[in-house]
Amino acid sequence: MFKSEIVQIGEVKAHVFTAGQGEPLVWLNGAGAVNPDISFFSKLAENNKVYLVENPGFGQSEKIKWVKEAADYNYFYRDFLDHYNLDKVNLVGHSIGGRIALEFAISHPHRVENLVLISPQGAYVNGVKVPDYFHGDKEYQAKLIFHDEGLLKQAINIQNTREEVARKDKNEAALARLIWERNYNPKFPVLLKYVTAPTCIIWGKEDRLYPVEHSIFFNQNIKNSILQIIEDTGHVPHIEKSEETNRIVQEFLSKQYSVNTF
Amino acid sequence: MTKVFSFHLMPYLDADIEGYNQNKYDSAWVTYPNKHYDPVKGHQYYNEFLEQLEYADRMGFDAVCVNEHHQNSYGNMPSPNIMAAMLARSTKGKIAILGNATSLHSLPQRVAEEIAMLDVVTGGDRIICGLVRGIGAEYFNFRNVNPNESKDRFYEAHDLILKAWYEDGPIEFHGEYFDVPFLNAWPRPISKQIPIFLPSTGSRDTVKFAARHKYPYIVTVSSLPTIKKIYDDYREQANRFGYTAVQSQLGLNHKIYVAETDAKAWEEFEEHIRFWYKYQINFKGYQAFPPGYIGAEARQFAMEALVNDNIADMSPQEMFDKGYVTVGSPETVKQRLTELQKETGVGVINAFMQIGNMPHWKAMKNIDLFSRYVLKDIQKLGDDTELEQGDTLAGKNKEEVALYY
Repeated sequence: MFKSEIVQIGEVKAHVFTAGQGEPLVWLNGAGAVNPDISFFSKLAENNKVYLVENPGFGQSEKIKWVKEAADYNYFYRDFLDHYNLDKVNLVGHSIGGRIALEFAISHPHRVENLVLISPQGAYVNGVKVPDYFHGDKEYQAKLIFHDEGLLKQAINIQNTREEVARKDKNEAALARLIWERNYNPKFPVLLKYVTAPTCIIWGKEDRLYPVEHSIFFNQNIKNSILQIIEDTGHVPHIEKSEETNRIVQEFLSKQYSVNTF
Repeated sequence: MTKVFSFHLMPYLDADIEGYNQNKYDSAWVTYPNKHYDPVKGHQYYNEFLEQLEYADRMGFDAVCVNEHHQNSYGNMPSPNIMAAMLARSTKGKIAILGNATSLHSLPQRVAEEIAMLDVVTGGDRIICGLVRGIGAEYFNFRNVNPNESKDRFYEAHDLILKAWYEDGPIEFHGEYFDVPFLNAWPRPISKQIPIFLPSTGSRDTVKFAARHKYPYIVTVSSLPTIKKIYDDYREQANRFGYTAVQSQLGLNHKIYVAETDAKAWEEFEEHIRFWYKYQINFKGYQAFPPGYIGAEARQFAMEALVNDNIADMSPQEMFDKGYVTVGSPETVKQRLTELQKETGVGVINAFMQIGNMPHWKAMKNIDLFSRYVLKDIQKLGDDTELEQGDTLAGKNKEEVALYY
């Protein structure tokens, strides 16, 4: 049901999927390619006009040569919203997409209605070890992502075609471009106060890539934020606990959480 | 003529084999714990290795070679220039630094200055300057350089080093990675031209870069058929840049061991080559090729090659026949190297005279027998044409240069 299109945004052609009606919701994807067929997205599209974006450099979106860190995407997303005539949106980002969403919310607070961060990249918590995602094979990486045994086995045992491996390598290179030298934003303790949008932070309690302690860091530093920790879940709550994650997002966007909880 | 260099990795000669058997380590790289480095043994090893190179120099090798590696038990020369400095005063012949990993350095100026220092100390025409990007695993160590930028940094560092050596300073250098208002190297080199060598694994753009500048290209680690393809590619690129490549531009890394008989040579050598493959050059694919270090397609081929080419388990005969090693009596080694030289057309053999955990006495014996009974015959092979190095596209504008890419 999602429509796939390649759109000229600023200086690059970007891959965007759109579906649904209602308030605009822009999804900033993690380091993998967007899979528009998962139920999490179709449910989001029941109440919102949803834009699923492959960040430039990832998936089928062209690379922006000068983009070297997550905050550099701020200009692309400004162009993106202008392109679709979107004044203010609900911004939902996962993992590196969550980091990019955060950077945008810091620099463009007037364009973000609500912010949803699902296991975002970018925190540093003293004493909490973050594994090096790049320093391991397929099995090692899958174990950092999935807590669900079935999904984990599937990810380890899948025989990828050469094209799929090439796509994965491309995405990994795009991710490394952003986080190789430093896997967090050291300025976040100062900058996060500039996030003004109501923010919902969702975290899998068993996230082995970015441990759940990171969620507390974000919750403490983003003033209008609520934190929802999902039990028995790894780095991809929207895949492992699709319904629960969806319910949290929908309830948050429909203001079912009291302001006092912020 | 064919030049024969005596190459060294200065490895650590021990490994925690029990730990490897218990799957404690993924490789000798990046995270192999440095508690396994005993500095007292290290003291002995370094001095033995220097003695080996000094002996090779005295016995008539065309150069002795050092190189840069970090945080592993495979090669313990974090700064090749320090080792070269020691050899500068204890040897008489050429010293080939193969090479400085310029992509990994924040300051290529320092590489330019240090090579110039060595050149001045040695009085000129004794230093060969190899430039390398650094092995992929080494990008995990420092974390200061994005593997996506490694290649472009390499080219830019090269340009900066040449300007530092040969242009009157102070000059401005404005690059994407290095931005220097006053490039003004003290000392300047005494040599009119410090030869540049490019050791590499065969990526096409490095081959092209070498051919464009007439730099000798040394294939570091590969199978013989691949090596031959790389040389063909170099020759073809040279034609495109308007000249015919000569043998002195092609180099081969090669492991050599000589003993009294073939059987004795293998008896003395085999455990060390297996040790090398199992416990030293044993990095995993994800370490060798961090994301962005090479293109996605090239990465896939390289990863598959790593899996398919299981040299550690080959029989001695297979290792020999496939050209990974040349081991035997002086006669066997002479014959095989002559064949290999003819087959590949190389003009430089970068000979590993010590490999893996080979102890000092064997390395010395190997250097001794090889230089007494083999070296001079190999040095006579082929012609002695040398080409002056330099950018074949110098003076062309951007559009003209683009036609070659």
